[in-house]
Amino acid sequence: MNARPWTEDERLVDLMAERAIGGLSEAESEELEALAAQYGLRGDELDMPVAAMDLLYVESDLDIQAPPDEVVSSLLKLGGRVAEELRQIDEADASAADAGRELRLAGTPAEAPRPSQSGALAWGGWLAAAACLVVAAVAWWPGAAEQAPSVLTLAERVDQMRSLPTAVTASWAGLDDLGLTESPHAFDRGLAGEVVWDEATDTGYMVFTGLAGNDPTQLQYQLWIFDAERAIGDLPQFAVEGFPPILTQRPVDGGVFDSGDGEVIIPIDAKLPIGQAALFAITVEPPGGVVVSDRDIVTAALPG
Amino acid sequence: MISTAAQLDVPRAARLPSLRSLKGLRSVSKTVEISVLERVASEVPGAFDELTKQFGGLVWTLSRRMCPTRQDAEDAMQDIFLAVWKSAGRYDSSQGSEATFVATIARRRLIDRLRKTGRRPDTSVLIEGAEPTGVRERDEAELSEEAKRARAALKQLSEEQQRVLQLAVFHGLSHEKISTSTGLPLGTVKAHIRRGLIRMREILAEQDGSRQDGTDARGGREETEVSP
Repeated sequence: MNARPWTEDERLVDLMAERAIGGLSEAESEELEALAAQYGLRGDELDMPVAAMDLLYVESDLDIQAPPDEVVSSLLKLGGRVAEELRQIDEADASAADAGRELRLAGTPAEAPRPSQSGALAWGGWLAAAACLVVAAVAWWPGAAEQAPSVLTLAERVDQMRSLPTAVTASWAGLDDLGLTESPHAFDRGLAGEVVWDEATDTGYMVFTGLAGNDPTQLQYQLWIFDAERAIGDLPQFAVEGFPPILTQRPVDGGVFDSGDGEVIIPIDAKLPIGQAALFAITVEPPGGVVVSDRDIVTAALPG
Repeated sequence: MISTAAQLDVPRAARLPSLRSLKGLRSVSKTVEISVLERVASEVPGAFDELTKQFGGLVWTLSRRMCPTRQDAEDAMQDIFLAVWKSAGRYDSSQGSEATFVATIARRRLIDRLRKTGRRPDTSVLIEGAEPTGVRERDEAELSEEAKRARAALKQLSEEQQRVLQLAVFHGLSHEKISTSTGLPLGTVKAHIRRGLIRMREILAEQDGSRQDGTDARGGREETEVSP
């Protein structure tokens, strides 16, 4: 533990300030973490004054605008979905307690608390880390996590999801087969596998064999999910003759990932709720991914 | 070989410390004021709607200021409010206001989104070619108590510190651009930011009556690592 006050460590304070105001690079973040640890700190000590300034500036701004009605409506709709999910989990929790039975991850899907079958039920990225609702429910029940038996392997989870009535699957296709422009990256040679997607929970997996390994310091793969229920036409430059116009949509970020040799299974991390997944596309991007892709597509999958 | 991202996906035991007991608490003592974040954490029906209405303007304004497009801002709104919901159980009303807690999460989320594009929240286009004039201030009476406290704290800084912090936080200018804009040496800009923020933190902590060097002085924590 460093003896002098952390406020006198200029480098540490510089990093804290930059973290709070504009963000740090990976290297800077690691440096901050190491420096802060010397003082027994987390490194977010200057987040609060910056937030207080944000609040002041927002409230003081005479030009402040309330969010548009459609944005509020969308938020409330999302809140309703999540609340419904929580209610169902609570009910399943109570039911399980009443029955005095132990939850088992390996139990059949029919025994697990299930959300409604509506594809509109969507948790987005919030629960994307959870492989399926059974896992999520156990993790979210206070005290229940300790009772959980050993976790399933990813391959077992994929199999389990595949058997769900709300699951959709689609094979990765060659770009020629899809009628899309050939990617400058020849990473899809011999590529096979599928995407398994659960419409009820907005979670899923990508299974690949033959997806070339990447150097994550140079480039990474990124998944994009095109949603049949979202607007199209925002990005007309990506229209492809003969292909459904959904390509002109601003797709939902499905997460950045790396590939290695052999079979690779990647959990999907959808950043926003998905109404109806219509196309999954993999692009090659700079490390960390992008918000708007140049559409350097490697492969894609069309459900159903 | 399975990639790092494909390691066993052990679910995060991220359930917030349960506040379900609040349901019982309310029935016992109606004098206990339960904040909207606590109600969200304890899954009180309608709490998320209330949260949205109460902080929608704050989050929308921050999102519009820091996102390159309206669509990005709309996406960010959902991202932020879900993050607030998820983190609501960590809010500690004894350590700060809900608005500050929400603003903290909002900025972190927005920075993370911008980081993906290699950008920073630079709104310098707003002031190019002109000396920044700062915020068009509302009357003091129109501000929340929290904003009043922030304004009072800011006014205790030197004028140059206020100016530099305003350019950095509100306008999102880099150190270099602030240096160019103000004519101050780069080292001076960094020093003003450094000292100004530390002073702000100290003043706000004093206002809370909980000044403790080296300890957390904000209203709870979002569950984030020290990540860029």
